[in-house]
Formats: sequence, structure tokens, C-alpha cells
Amino acid sequence: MLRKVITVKSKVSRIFALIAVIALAFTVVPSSMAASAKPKEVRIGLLFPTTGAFALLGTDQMTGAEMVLKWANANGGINGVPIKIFYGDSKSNAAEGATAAQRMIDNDKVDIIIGSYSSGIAQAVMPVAQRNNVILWEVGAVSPTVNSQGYSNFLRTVGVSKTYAAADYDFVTKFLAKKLGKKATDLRIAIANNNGAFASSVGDAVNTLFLSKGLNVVAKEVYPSTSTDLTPLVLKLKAATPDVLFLTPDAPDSLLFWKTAKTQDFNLSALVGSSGIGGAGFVAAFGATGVEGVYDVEAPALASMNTSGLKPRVADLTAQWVKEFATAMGHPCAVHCGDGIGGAYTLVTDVLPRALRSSNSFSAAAIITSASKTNIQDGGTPQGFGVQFTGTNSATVGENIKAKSVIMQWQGGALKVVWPASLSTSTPFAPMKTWDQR
Amino acid sequence: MFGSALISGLVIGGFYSLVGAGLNLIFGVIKIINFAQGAMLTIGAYLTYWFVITTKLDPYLALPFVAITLALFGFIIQKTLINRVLGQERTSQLLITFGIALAIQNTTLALWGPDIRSVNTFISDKTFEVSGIRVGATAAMALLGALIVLLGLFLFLSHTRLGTAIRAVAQQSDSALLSGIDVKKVYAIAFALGSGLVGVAAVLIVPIYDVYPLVGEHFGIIAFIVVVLGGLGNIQGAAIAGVFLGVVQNLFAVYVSDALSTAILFFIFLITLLFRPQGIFVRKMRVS
Repeated sequence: MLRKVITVKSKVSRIFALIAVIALAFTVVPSSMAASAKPKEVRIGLLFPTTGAFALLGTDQMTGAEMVLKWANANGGINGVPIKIFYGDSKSNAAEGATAAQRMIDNDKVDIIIGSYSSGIAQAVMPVAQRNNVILWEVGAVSPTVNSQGYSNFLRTVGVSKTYAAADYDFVTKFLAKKLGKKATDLRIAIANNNGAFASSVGDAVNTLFLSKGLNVVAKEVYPSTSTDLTPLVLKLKAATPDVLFLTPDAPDSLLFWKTAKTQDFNLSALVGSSGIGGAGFVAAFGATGVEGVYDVEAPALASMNTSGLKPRVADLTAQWVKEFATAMGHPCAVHCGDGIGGAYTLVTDVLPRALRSSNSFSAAAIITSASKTNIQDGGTPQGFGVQFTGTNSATVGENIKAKSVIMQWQGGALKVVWPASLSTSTPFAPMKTWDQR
Repeated sequence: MFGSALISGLVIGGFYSLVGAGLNLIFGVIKIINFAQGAMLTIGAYLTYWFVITTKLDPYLALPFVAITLALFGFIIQKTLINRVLGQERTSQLLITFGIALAIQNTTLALWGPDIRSVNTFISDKTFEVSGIRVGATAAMALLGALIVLLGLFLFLSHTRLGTAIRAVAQQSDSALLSGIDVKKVYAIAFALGSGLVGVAAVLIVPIYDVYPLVGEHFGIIAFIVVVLGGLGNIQGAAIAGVFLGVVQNLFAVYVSDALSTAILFFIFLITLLFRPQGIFVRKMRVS
């Protein structure tokens, strides 16, 4: 009897085991069959501040990226796979950005989010992307703390704030000091920034680098980004009698600063600004004479960059997009437009095609693996610098170690790339005229 | 440095006083907090800008147009929206002006986009210098304009029949009603007047601050601190409080910390609420 029971039990066990194997086969085999099937589309979300305080430049960045995605679609997609584009507005607010990101993931089922313009917004969006296993393809935020937690799903094409500092240092030591007739260590340097994430990261990076190299920083000032009066800031800077001021404002306070500098007759040999200093609103407010000679440090303004150093195909495409942008937006393709174009270009011409070829997938893992193999040389992207991402073992996951910032200067009402020489369309000059001379 | 910081503090304080006085007038009479004060300042700035673009005239000449337009706008808002929630629960009253603020902000953004727009006046390039203290002519005009308007408001409220009616309603609306004053009409006029004050501030601000969708936001927030410091419903207190805040902000920025110069205002706000919620300044002339 016991032998019979055991035999029956063995038979049942074998039947159940067979059923389990068959069930497993149906789950495993279809998955692998699905993986080998080409994706029908790649879903990309564009998440930028198109309303609110950052809308002016955020919209430029978004439009740049959108143009490239549409170009890719018009030219066969990603090796035949179309891109489906979705739009999200972070409303210039970190919390709204995170909410919008989650909505794009839940409702639009995006594979990749291209964002964010603002470092604060990127920092809020990143954890959302990570926990939903979606890639954040960052083209605009430059604060090094955006991915301080080392999330794997983060890939950034634009240079972090240290690249601003490196460009500033290079420019000061190799050009400006000589032009002003002083040794670099004898120049009186002031640094000022508002208390936003981007401005603080740039101001701190410049301060840290300059002090480490023995430059003479005579003032380091931080002011609230909501400040309604910059007279105190200008008075303190004026009292420090700097030769050169490195200023990182937002768009509204860049205008307020320059107006206040004029009122208080604050004269400098050189002003190296960022953000709003390089914006169309700056020259519109003060006219060509009012901004003549002011420098701007950032990723290059594509409309005023020397493209002879780019690969021919890249140069042609860049010229096409610059023209298209100006027609659509009514102003030149400057820095932030370039960020969007450059970042999206690397995604659609390098990373995504490789992911499709290697893994037949646009999953986060496939994109990360593909990005780890990206090695574009200088001249191979619209912004002129190459692309190579730090890996997951690096302290700075997903950063483009070939990204660079350039120095531009307002000359005759146009913002021209003046440094480094390989990308320049004009020669820099210094010192600036005084307010009396303007 | 002290002199320049003081003068610029007086100028910025003048703006705070104007915007705060308008807010205080509305609260003193209607007992409603107008969260849309900053948004209305933004509308005023855009009206000024479009006036200049359309007429090619100096922005200061836009003052009657902008002030009257905003006053009418305020009148309509009060009649059509605010009146409906008077007498209802407090939350409805708070939320409706908050909703108006959001509607204004998003409409201006949708209509005119995020671009920063600038206008110049005939005095944009002029600066006064006395004993090393430099003041822009536009800033001096703004301070003078604010003083004249606030003085005018004070005289209106204390020396005219309508001003007396407004003060009566602010003090005791039931008694005012019994004595034959059309209380609802007074409410509308007070809201219009408060909005008109914002229009004046907008015209004075535009040559200095440029025009963009959030230009009024910071001033709107500071206006609440002005109201608390000056005493709810106390116009004269609001005027003094605004100037006090502007001077404190700038001197703090120069001598202590620029980074904390906005935070100090909120610190003062909290201290006032905790220890002197009726306001710091002596009530010499009250609306309520």
C-alpha cells in the first residue's frame, strides 16, 4: 500500500515538474523571442521648463533637441525605428519637474527623458527616472551635484560647472592677463553668483580652481536670485576694485546687474558672465554698445561658432539646424539651443543606433551599455567637443569627460566664440570700455 | 557705500510701500487678502511695455492709462468675483484671489511668452551724483512718484467724502451701511484704488526692472510683510514699513550678508507676527 502511495506521489510530482518546465518554457522562450524582435518605436520625452522663470532658455533647449529628433525621424528614425516624441513642462520648478517626469513615464511610457535645463529640476527628475528604469539624458543642467548619488540611468552630454572654471582659467592665464599687462597671479579677480543651483556650482567651481592655482580672488559674493536690488552687490564689488569679474546670474538679474553697474559707474577691464549674459535679452536691453566687450562662458553658441573644425557632415547639419532654429524662434541659435542640438545628436546618431544593433532594445540597460562604448572625437558633434561617458565605477557616473566650455564675447551686437582658437569666429579684445566711453 | 545703500534702500522701499499700501487698503476695507497683487503688478508692467511699443511715447506717460486700466480691472474683479465670496468661509476668499493670481500669470505667459522685454525712458541714461552717492534718474523718479502717490492717497482718505466713506466702511461696515453708505460700491472702489496703486508702481518699476512674467511676484510677496509690519489696514504704517524694509534689506546686504538679505525680511515678518501681530508702527491714520 505504501509503495503504491509513493508511486502515485512520484507520478504526480513528475507531472507537476513537467507542467512547471513547460510553463517556464512559455515565459522564457517568449521573452527571448520578444527581445530579438525589433522595437516598433522609441518613446522619448522632452522635459524642459517651457513656462515660468526659466522658460526663455528652457524653450530654446527643448526646441534644439526637438529639431534633431524630428530630423532623425525624417531620415529613417533609429535604423528604421521611428521616434515618438512626448512633451512635458517642468514649469521652472523642481517638484513640477518630478511630477511631469512621472506622468510621462506612467502615461506616455517613455524610454528616455531628455531634459532639464535647470540643475535643480534635473536633481528632482533623476530619482524618478532611476526608480522607473528610464534614462535621463541630460543636455543642459551643469551642477555636479545633479547625480551626486551616482544613479546609473544618468547620462549627461554637456559639461559640468568645472568645465566653466577650466575655460575661465585657461582664458585668464593664456590671454586676458597678458592683454591687461599683468601676470595672472597679479590680476584682481572677483567672483559673484546668485544662490541658485547652477550659479552656485559655477561660482564655487571658479573660486575653488582659481584659489588652488594661486590666483588673487579679492571678492566672492553670493546674492539671492530673488533680489530686487543689486546696488549692495555692486557697491561691494566696486569697493574690491577687481580687474576681472566672473559673474553667474540668471536672465532677469543679468540685466539688473548691468543696469546697476552703469548707475554706480562700476568699471571693469573684463566681465566674464554666464547664463543671461549671453542671452538675446541682454543685448536687446543695452544695445550693441552697452554690451560691447562683455564675455560669456558656456557651451558654444552654435550660431557664432567656427564650424570648420567639425566633420563635414556634422558642419552641414549644424548649419541646417541653426538656420531652422532662427526661422522658427526669431532669434539666433545660441548656447542653450546648442545644448539641445548637441545632446540629442549624440543620442540619435550614436547611442541609440548602437543599443539597437547590440541589444535590439532601447531599455535602460541597453542604452547604458551602448553609452559606455561612445567615443566621439572633438569635431564629431555640433558643439565641437567630443563625447565619452564615465562608467558606473566612476565617482561621476554618466558624465561626458570630453565636454568643454568656450569663451564668447559680445562684438558689434553679436555673441562670437573667441576662445579656444579652434572654435573661434573672432579675436577677443580687452580691456572693455568704461561707462563714460560707451 | 552707506549713503548709496541707504538711498537705493529708500527707492526699493518706495516700491514696497506702494504695492503694500494697495494691499493694505484692500484688506482694511474688504477684509480680504489679495494674493493677486503681485500678478497685477506684472499686468501693469506689460501694459506699460505695450503702451510704449504702440505709441512710441515715454513709459512715464503710460501712468494714467495703466493706473486707470488696472483700477477698472480691479473694479470688475471685485464686482464679479470677490463679491460672490464675501460672507462665505475664509478659505473661499483666500483661494479666489490665489486663483486669480495663477490665472493672470499663466495668461500673460501664454499671451506674451517668457522673453524679457526692456523699455527706456528719456532719463534712462541719467544719473545723479552727490558727495559720491550715485542714484539713477529712474530710481529717483520712482521714489518721488511713490511719495507723491502715497501722500495723495493719505489726503484722499482723510479729506474727501469718498475717503471718509471708505474709512467708515473699513472701521465698521454695518454701521456704515446703516448710515446710508453703499458698502458694496465702497468695496469695489477700494479694490479699484488698491489695483490702481499697483498700476502706478508698475509704470515706475518698468524702466528699472524690465518686463517678464514673474516681475511682480517678488514685490507681491514682500507686500505681505509690509502689511503685517505696518498693521493691517494701516496705510501710513504700510508706507513706513515698506521704506523700513527696503533700507534694512540693503544695509544688511552691504554690511552683513547679501545672500541672506531677502531672508532677513522674512525673519522680521516672523518676529513681528510672534511679538507684535498688530504691526510695529504707531497707528496715526488708519483705514480701519
